[in-house]
Amino acid sequence: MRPYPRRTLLTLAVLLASRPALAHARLKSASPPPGAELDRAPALISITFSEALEPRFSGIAVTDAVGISHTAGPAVAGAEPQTLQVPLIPLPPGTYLVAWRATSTDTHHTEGSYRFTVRA
Amino acid sequence: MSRLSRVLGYAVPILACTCPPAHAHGVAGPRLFVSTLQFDDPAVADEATLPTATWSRSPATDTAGPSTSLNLNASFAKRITDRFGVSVSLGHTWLATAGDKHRNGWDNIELGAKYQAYVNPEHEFMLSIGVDREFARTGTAAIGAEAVSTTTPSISFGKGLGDLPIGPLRPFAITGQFGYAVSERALKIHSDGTDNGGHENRWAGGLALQYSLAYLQSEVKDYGLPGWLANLTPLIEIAWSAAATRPSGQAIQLLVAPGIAWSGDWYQLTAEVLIPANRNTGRNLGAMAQIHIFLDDLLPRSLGTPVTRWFQ
Repeated sequence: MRPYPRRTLLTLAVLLASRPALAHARLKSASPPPGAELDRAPALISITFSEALEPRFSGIAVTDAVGISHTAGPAVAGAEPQTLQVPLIPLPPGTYLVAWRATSTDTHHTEGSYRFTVRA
Repeated sequence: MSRLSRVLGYAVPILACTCPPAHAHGVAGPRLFVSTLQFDDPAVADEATLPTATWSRSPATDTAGPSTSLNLNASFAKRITDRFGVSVSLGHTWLATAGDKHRNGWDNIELGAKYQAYVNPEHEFMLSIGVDREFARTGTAAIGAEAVSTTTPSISFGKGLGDLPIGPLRPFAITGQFGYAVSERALKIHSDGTDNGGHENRWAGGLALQYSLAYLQSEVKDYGLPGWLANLTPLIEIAWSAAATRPSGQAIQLLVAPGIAWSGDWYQLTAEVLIPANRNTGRNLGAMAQIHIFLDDLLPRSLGTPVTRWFQ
């Protein structure tokens, strides 16, 4: 008798490769990206997540070092269902905190934050 | 057998809104605590491990030659409410001993319950309490399944270090579990040196230090790492077991397990090297690997949602 089983692991490998994803929305990319140091202030924040979002239950807040908001309106869906964007008022030099919350279409909630800097 | 006992070869149990939105699998604020192999993580979740594979070697003893064992374990955890869940674990072991026929058999069945008592998203902290029971004589004695049941209450925690003012250190997180294993039959040693087959009660625990590249990329600084690399979490675990009552059949055991985890959308792959840190734990390296499935991501509207929501 073979001492070690092999069929079980092969079956699982096939399962992992074929199943479509329904998961927590994680930040895949952002503009400006986390930790960025910019020469020019951005006009909006755009975050692309790993999953499609429910825009009504998702949001982005942008505040400066003393906690004052610098968004010019609510966060809205981007061109793709995984993207969330928020317009900004003109940003003076300084460091800004981007705090996001995302609710994926399968109701999972995630949140996170990062900073970027606009150089003087 | 519990996770640690599969490696050590001893029955040392260790380590097992208002309607809030779905979180599950170890999320506290921006922190995702990856599942660890040597002890249970602090989250209450809908998840399965299919399987956890443990490979180990043991040196020759006075009565047997050197041996190699492979254990495959499957476990399933289900949330009853958003904060309370139960679990079941079952494994199978193949044992090859020099000079003896190959043996295989089932491990004892283990059942568990856990309550997620506290979560602080702002400080990336999570705390759970739980209890696990290994039911003796449900497995195969020929491969070492214990004849004495053990009940282990425990406390689990996770703390992300996102509070730190030093950016590159913020992706670190610490998780741990501390338990007290109560044997159903206390160990008694007779005057002729034999014993009653019981076990002493034992303290058991584990700690893990994790570094999340995904956290680094999304919370600290985007270094432009490729997607597959950004999903990695290097980690190192330690697990220990020590007698809490006298007489004691086994001295302190200590295991170090460095490894790496890769987080997919609905699963996690983890592999670790098992390094005995003292002679009581063993002399040979071992290996452990796991496929961990997050049912709340795979089946969010059925098995991946708490039972109490099925009827809403």
